[in-house]
Amino acid sequence: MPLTKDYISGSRRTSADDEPGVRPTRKYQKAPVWRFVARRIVTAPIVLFGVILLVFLIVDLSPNDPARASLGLFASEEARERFAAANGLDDPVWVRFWRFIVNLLHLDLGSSVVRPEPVAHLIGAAFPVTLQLMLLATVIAVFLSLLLGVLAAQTDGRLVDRTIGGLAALFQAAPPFWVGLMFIQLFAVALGVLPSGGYFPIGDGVRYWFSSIIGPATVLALPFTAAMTRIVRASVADELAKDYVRTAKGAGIPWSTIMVRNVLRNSLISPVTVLGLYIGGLMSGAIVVESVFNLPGMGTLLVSGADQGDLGVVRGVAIVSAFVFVLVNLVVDLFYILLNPRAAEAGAE
Amino acid sequence: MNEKDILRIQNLSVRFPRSYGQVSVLDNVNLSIGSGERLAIVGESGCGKSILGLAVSDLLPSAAVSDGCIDFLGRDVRSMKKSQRRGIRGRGIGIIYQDAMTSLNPGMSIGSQLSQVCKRTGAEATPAKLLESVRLSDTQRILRAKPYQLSGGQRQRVLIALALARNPRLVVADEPTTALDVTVQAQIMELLLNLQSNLRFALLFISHDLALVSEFTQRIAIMYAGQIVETGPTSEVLQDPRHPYTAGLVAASVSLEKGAEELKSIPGQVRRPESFLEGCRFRDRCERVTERCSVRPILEEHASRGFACYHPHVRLASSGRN
Repeated sequence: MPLTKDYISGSRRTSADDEPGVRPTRKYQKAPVWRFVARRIVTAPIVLFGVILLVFLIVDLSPNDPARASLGLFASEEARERFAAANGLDDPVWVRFWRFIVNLLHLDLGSSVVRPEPVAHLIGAAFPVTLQLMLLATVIAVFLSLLLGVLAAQTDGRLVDRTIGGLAALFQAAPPFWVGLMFIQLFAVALGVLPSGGYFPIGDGVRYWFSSIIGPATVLALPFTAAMTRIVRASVADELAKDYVRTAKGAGIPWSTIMVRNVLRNSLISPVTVLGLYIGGLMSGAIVVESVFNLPGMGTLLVSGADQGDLGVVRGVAIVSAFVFVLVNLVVDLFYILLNPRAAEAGAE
Repeated sequence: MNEKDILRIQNLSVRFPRSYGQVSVLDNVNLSIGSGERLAIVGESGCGKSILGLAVSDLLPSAAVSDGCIDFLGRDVRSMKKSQRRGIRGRGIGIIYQDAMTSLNPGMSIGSQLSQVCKRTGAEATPAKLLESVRLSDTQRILRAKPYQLSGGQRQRVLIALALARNPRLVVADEPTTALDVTVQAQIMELLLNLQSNLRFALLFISHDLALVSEFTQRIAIMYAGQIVETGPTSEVLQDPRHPYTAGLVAASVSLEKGAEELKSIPGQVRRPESFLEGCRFRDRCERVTERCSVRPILEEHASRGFACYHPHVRLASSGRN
């Protein structure tokens, strides 16, 4: 153990130093990366199960009555009881949870008490919209934050750096619903280049689709971009100050190669971590943005479900969102290992 | 200075306005190094040795402001265009750093780090050949390894390979062995010397180890607080130091080697740059100080020896010291 620790901290003195055949870092020979990966893959479903249980219980404890929601406020007590018996509403919690899980495994999220379609269909229609929104927002955020972060780090302390820093602080602090409204005001009302809301599927023509989604995606991406820019800037600046950058420069390697192949790769570790956290946050941001831009996505579905006491829909959206969140984090973790194998080795110890 | 000089530094001054104001961290340095020559720069920590090494390699941090002339192969590096300056880095001048752990990219395999240098013009070798040239066996494993998977000595060898990849005419070695233990240190020095005599590059060897320097270099320049205080052939300077600072350094290391009962040392320590003295910067620690010393003594060269002092030690009988 102490030997390993020594090597992580980069200790220089070892007795077997400089004998080319000797490999002092035996522990690293069989990098146990796969063990880390396996553990992540095993724990993901457990986390998911916990989330499902929690969502089920919280929704169950809410004062909403599915029977009332379905039959209306003025339905007779008799009708209510018939509905409850038919749908097993009076069964003990664990029975209902079991039924819920079994249905879930059949990809059946139950039925909406308000709308004719089953919840799975509603989500099936809404999810792609939110997914597109999130993906596009992520692409915009990653692209812009890398560009601006690197630019700010390179112009350390000068006007460009300070301008980028100021804008980042501004957009990180601005509430998305307000930014959304301002965005509509500027691009839809004043300039008239984008629609003020609504959604066109990609089948209606790429141009319509793009102009309907680029606005909300940009608004969703702004706070995300701001946060990421600051982190990219900090971590690139840190990396640029390191000795190996000087080594590369001293060897006559061009600046672009140093930046892209050496510095950027090493400085992506903390941005990727933050990216993972923020993609989850995009879900909740999407709810607001979808409302502002009137997009038929998961957020709009969730809000209307909660409004109408449609518990099946609320549960379904929560669980699908949790699933996406866990999946994204898993992918981010695996990506993280790719960037920093040592973290995995330390994590698996 | 003669025609064979590949590097001539004239009146080089370096300041860090943001940290130290108008104080020159390197102050009017004049130095030249001949083709294939081994020149040592010696001084305590904080004397500006490394800054000199970086200035020569054109790698000063952006906060530094420099003045003077660095003439490499007959052309002033400081007045060159950016692209030409990059052409000199690595190809004309290679540099070996002190701390091999931080000087290598921790996230990149040794092979990739070497090959991105090998792709540049002037490099004929392949990464594997480079490793062989610095006597690393088991090249396949090392090429795949990340720096943290190697020992200190192996890393230092990789760093040397990196510096020599493009056959530079001048190699700046900035305390290449301080981070290593004594046995490895000897191996690395031997390697460096072997490579130097085979490849015939000039070596600017920065060190504070007089024993190493006396063994490995032909000429020496002693630095104190950013100024060169004494120059000359290594053996002569160390046998017969003129400047009180040189004399103090020699006395300290001699008393160490002889196991003298009382370790001789120079009283005090190097001042921080912001409080460097006017005139002779060594005068607050010098036992020979007089009023004259508040005006800076100029380094004067007489027959290969030079020193900047009004009250130099005169030639001592070789047995007379200690």
